Amino acid sequence: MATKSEEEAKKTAYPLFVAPRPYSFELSTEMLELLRKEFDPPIIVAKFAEAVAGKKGPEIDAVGEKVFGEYGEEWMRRTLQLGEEYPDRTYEMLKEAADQTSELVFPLVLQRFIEIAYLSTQQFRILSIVENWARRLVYKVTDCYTFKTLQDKCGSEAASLLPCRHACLAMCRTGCQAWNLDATVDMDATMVKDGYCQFAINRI
Amino acid sequence: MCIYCELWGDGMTWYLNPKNYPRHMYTLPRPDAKPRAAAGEANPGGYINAERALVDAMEKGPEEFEATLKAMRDGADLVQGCVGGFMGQAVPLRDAEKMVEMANPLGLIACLCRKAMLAVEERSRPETTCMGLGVGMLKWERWPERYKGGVHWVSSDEAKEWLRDLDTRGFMHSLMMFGPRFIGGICNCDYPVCDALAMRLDFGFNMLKGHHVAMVDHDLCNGCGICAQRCQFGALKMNVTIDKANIDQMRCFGCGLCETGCPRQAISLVEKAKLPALQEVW
Repeated sequence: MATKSEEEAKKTAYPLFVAPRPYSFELSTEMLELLRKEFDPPIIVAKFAEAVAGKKGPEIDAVGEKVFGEYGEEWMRRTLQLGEEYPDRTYEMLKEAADQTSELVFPLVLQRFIEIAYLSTQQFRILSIVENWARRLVYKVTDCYTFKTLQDKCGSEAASLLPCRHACLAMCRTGCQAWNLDATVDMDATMVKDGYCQFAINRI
Repeated sequence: MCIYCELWGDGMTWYLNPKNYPRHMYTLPRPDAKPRAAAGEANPGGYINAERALVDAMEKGPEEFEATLKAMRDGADLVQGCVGGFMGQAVPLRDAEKMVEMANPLGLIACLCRKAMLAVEERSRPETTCMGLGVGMLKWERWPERYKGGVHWVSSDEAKEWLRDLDTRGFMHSLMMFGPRFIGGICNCDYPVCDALAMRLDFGFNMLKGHHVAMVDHDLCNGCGICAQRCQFGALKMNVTIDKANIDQMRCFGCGLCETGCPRQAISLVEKAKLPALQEVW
C-alpha cells in the first residue's frame, strides 16, 4: 500500500510548461531582411570599387582595410542592436543558461550574433562552426557572396588580395569588444589559398 | 585505432578533439520549405522497442534476426551518421571531465532508458543521470515529452562534480553521437537498465569499447572485491587461488569504474594502443 508521502508525490504534477508567445526558435525574418537591406555585399563592394578605381596592390589593401573595416564594425554594431530587439526562444534559453552557469557569453552568445551577421548577408543557410568551446570560437565561410561579388565587380586580381577579410575581422573584433571579451581574432585559412576563409577567436 | 579516431581524431583521441562538439545555432529555412511540422512526442520506448524487435526476430530464426540487426545498424548509420551502428563509446571519468570542458552548454536531464525500463522518473537535479551537450539543448522545449523534468544548466565545474558523484555511485560513463562528428551527450549507465549498453552486450552494436583497459597490480590488491562489484561487463572476477582481482582485458570496456572504486589504487587504466593484442578490440 502506498504511503501518504507517495500518494502526495503522485498528485504533484510536473511544472506546467507554458510556451511564451511569440514562440520561435528561429531567427526573425524581419530582422534578417533589415540587415540584408543595409549590409548587402553588393552595396559595400560598389563603394570599394569606386574607392580603388585606378589604384594598385598595397594601395588597394589600404583602401580595403578602411572601407571594409568600417563596414565590418557597423555590421556587427547593427547586428547586436537588432539581435537584441528581435529575440527568439533559442536566445532566451541561452541567456537563461548563461545566467545559471556564469559561462557561455564566450563562445555561445558571441556565436549567435556572428551567425546572424552572416546569415543575413550571405546566401548560405548555415554558418559552419568548426570549434566552439571555452577557449576558441572558430568558423569557416566556404561559399562567400562578398568574395564572389568582389570578383565580379573588381576582377580576380583585386579580389585575390582579399580586402573583404577586413570586414569579417572587424566584425568579430567589434563583437568581442561589445561583450568585453579579451580575445584575439585570427584568420586561419583564406579563400584564395584554401578555398574557404576560416576565422578563429581565441580567448586570452 | 578506433574507427572514430581514424575518421575524426585529427591525430588525437576523437572525443578529446574540440572539433567534434560544435554546432551551428540557426538554420535558415529553404525558400521552398513547407511550414515545419510540430516536433511531436518523443518515443520514450525507442530503445526498448528496438530491443523487443530484436528479441522477436530471434524467435523467428537466425535469418530474420540477422536482417533485423542489419536494418537497425544501417538505420543508425543513416540517421546518426555513425559507422557500423556504433553511436556511443565508453569513457573513463578522467576523459569525461575533459569532455565537459569542450562542450557547451551542459544540461542535466532525465535518463530516458531508466524511464522506459524501470519507470524511474528523474525530476530534480540531484536525480538526473544524463547530460545533453551542445547548442541543440537550447531548443529542448521542442520535445517536452522527452525532457520532462526540465533541463538543469550547469557550469563545467559543476558538471565534473556531478560526474564524480555518479562515478562514486557506480555508473559508467559513455558518450553519445547525434549526427556525424557530433558528440551530443554523456550517459551514465548500468547494465541492463541502460539500453545502449544492453544493445552492445546483448546484440553487439551501439556502444564501442573505450580507449583503455584496466590492469591490476597484485602487490597492491588486497582482494576486497569492490572492483568486481562495480564492473558492468563481467570482466572482473576474484581469482580464487590467490584471492585477488583478475581482469579479462578482452571483455574490459575501459570505463575505469574499477580504478576509481579501488581503495588501494591497485588498478590502473592502460592505453590500448600500448597493447598490440587489444588494438583492434572495440
